[in-house]
Amino acid sequence: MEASTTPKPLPNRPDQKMPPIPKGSRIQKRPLPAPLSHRLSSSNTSRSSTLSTIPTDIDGFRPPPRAPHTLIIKVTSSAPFMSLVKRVRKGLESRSSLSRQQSTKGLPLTARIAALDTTGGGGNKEGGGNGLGPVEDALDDVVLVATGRAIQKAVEVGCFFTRERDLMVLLRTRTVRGVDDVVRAEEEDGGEDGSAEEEESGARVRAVSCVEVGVRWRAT
Amino acid sequence: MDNNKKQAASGKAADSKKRKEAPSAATGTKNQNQQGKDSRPPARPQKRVKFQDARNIRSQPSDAALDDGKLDLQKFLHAREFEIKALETSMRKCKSANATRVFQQVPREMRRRTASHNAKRVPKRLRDRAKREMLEDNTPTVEARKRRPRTTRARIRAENAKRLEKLAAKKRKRALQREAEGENKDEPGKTTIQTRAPRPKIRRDTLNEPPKPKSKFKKRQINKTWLPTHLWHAKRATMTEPTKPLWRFAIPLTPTQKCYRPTHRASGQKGTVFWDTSYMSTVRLYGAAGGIEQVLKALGLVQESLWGNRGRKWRNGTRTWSGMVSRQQGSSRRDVGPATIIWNPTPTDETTAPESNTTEQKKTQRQILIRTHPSCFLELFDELVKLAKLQTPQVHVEDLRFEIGSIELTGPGSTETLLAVLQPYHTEERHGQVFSSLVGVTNPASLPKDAVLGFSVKDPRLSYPPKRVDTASKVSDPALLDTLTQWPVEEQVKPYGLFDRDVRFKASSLPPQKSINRRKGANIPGQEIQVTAADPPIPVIVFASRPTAGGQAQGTWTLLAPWKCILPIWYSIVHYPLSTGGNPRLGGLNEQRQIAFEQGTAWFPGDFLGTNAGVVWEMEQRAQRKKAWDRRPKGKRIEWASLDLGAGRKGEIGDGLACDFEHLFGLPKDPSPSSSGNQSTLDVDPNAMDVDPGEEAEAASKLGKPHKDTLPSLATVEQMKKTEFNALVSSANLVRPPPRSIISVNITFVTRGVANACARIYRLPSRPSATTTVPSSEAEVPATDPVAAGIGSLPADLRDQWLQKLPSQKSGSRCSKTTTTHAAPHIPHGVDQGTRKQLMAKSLLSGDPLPYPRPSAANQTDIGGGHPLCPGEEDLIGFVTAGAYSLSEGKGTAVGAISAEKAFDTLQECKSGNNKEGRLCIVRNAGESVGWLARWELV
Repeated sequence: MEASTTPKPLPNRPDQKMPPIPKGSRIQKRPLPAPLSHRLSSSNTSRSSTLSTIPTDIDGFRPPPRAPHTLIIKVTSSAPFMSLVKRVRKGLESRSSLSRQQSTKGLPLTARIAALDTTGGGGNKEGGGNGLGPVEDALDDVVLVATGRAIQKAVEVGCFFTRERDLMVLLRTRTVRGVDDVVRAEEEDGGEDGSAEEEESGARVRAVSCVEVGVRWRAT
Repeated sequence: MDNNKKQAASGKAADSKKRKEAPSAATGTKNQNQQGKDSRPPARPQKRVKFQDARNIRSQPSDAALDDGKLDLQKFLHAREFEIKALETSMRKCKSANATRVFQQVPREMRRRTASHNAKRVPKRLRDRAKREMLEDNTPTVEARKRRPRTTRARIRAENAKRLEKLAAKKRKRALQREAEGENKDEPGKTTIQTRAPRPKIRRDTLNEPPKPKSKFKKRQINKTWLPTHLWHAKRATMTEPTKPLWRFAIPLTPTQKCYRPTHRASGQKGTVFWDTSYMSTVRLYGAAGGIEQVLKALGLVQESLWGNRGRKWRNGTRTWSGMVSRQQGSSRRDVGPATIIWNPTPTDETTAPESNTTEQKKTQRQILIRTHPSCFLELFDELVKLAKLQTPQVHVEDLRFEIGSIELTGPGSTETLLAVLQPYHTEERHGQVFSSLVGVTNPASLPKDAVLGFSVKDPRLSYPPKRVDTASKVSDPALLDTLTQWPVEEQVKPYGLFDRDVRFKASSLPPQKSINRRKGANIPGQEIQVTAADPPIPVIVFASRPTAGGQAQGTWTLLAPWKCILPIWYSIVHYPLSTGGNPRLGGLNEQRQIAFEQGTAWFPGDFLGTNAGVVWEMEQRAQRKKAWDRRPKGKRIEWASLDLGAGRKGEIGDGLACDFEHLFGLPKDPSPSSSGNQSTLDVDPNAMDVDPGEEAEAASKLGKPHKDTLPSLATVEQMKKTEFNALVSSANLVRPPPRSIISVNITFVTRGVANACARIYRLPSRPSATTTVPSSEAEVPATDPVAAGIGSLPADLRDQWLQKLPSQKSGSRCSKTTTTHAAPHIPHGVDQGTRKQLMAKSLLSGDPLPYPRPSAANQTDIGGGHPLCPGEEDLIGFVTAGAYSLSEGKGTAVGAISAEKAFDTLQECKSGNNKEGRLCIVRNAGESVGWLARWELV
């Protein structure tokens, strides 16, 4: 009901559907963009400035900044469950000491000074940042990112960690934009050979559902 | 006393100005050290005391806790607690006091780490400690005595060097004098004549000379050419042997540090791997568009899609074409090698006008770049010259091998690295704008297929060291998506500067590092140097290529730039701080092959046995393997003749050290490299291929005597394309592929197994039809006589045995097999003596022997208990050219080549039944008797 009254269409349910691809063509997927992590890295330390510089997402959502120490694990559908669990554990263990005493190694001088300030007024800042979701998100120690068939696996791994008492698991949904090539295939070639027989005739954007499972140490 | 000695030694060292002198108490902080020395014991005994102290674990005797024979639990526990703590501290102390030296703190990948003998190499803050440790450990250092030339030759060289030094000093002095005089004199005559630096000559339709090396390095480049980054590489990578250059270049093979796994990570998950691929050859073709089209068609670019409306983007110069080029040889075509072809765009206003008039369009002057591998360069170049001369008006060919260099990058951080290093010179250039808007791309494969960008960049030294690209603020998803989908490079396309000889030359005369340093010194610290008229724009072409495997695999960026601009660009790339941490990783030839292997694609030339370059490579590999095999002691190398393949078959099929397609196709055997001595027929000099080598080889093979300087008979094997083969298989009329053709395949093991190079690939043995004679029953053949059981006694159900190895049918297969093959009665466990005796007596009387002791002839029906035998030689279909455990797949994979004819037959057989069985194969390493089930896919 409410969805119909809102003027803006949902990002993954647009007003107008994309036109069907022309006959004899097929879609060839390009690799998905990397999870946001790779982009929002340690360049900025003061979070307020980071927040303002982050551009909004395609659906008006401002993605949370990542702490520089956050470990991103891209989950593939074929990844073994226990291997994922071990990777998460390893990440958490190495970050347990890190989160307590945030290292300012390798940062410019101004950033180091800024870091000193925040530690001085730590309680103050947390009080201010309580309402903001994104700032909270930045505290994730490990993030599992998954699309498509891998979503189930990521959620399973997240559930596995909910039984640990000193861990906190947060689950967020997102939309990722992938690019597809519309490729005209010549009829002589039945196989999926792409090199010479095909030629792209356009590209279109596709929205892909994505799940992020954040695992972090519970504040002590 | 020893102090005196040391002083004397140091004095000597100071006199001779040796850099690597032993740090002694007398140098530097002399007084302090001496004072310290007097007060404390000599270094080595002191260290020993330290060790002993650290290793000593204190403990309490347990009877201390006994109080009148009663155990005082509290005391006892305290004592144990103390002991555990003592153990722990001792462990900690040992670790710190023990063998670590301060230079070991230097990260492993730094060259400075290799410096136990030179304290000056470690960081400054550790230098004092390093000196002290060297004293303590009595580290041997380089002595002047050992540096003295030992051999006559070295002595002559040293004398020569001394004389040259004197000459140089004299020359320098004279020059200084002249300068001093000239300053007084030449004030008015300053505006006499201005000369430009000589432009290198580029002759058309012939090969060009490599750049003239500095006289200092001339001798080392007599029979090879150095890459522009040679000096950098030579310190950090294993290069080709000085006397055995690869394709006439000194090519880095692999970095000196261990890097197999890091390369895998950097190429797929996090980071960047980059190569100096300046050895790749570039050829420019120019002339009328029609003529160029004819030449390209003769090279095998006959697809309609290239020349019709759909290939417009390629012909406009905004896309590349990459693929195999081929040449006519007799009645058939033979692959030459992979090539990338880029057209130089014409200015847009011109292209719009003659779009209507095709004849005029054909007459317009166009240029193309053909980038190919050096191993097939000469073959291609000769072919090009031949074809170009046939055209009217003539098309010309220019060899730009040493004019244009290139760098390749792959991995998630590659785009980021390039963005930081390549800053567009002109802000209004369309392609430069598009390139700089690619911030946030983490995979070159996410660009449109075969995208090309040509623009000019600033000298990267102006903004050295490169700054991290600020992705956080610049990235905006919608804008980036727009660029990736629209790819607005068609409007306002200008001809690429890299095609222009003058532009390349101007870029090659970059200001010297000295002047850059001076400008930097005059600048405010941290500020970039402004571009002035003295800094020429560097024309570059970057293009992204997708892996043939597709999917989420990483693509590759290729950067083409003038040969002389490669080095400054290289330095900037090396030092770029990636946003994910670390720096880009260096790769060598082996890493290139590794990445191709992990992506499941064939690597040129190693995996292309159907090309001349591939044949030459294979021959070299054979010679190498043979050499390595010969070097091993007799007891430790594989004796091919005594390999037991089971069922009485002895000996390896064909040559165990080769991908022996000669054996498979029944080609005449070439003399092995060992028999003809060091001067083998196999190292075909690429420059001696003036005569058509393939045809000559054919002639030679017909005559039955292999000739020197010709390609071996392996060169008559043809490569078949994936598309052609697929078309043959799917077509209804049974046209078989030509007899001596091979197809490249990617092999994945079904369960276990890792293949090495030269492993044999078998198809599944066919089920025996009713007519074939099979030994009536194996039980009747006496097991003690393996010769009688010998030939032709492969089990009839061999195919089923192999099919049972498929994991899906595992549960059913195991029990059934055990019942069939091991039918002999076992004495069950837990049986009392009486029944045991009875059973024994029964078995003795019946004459049916117990399975123990095993029958003397092993490997009769299976290998090592239940593992099926390898199929016979008639089922051999091909060989593995590269194989290993694949880190990306998590199991063994391989790249190989199989006979197209046999593969076709197998697929036809299985067409009616289960289609998947046709692509199953058995891979057995050379020299091993166990084969493993695998699946092949066309590459």
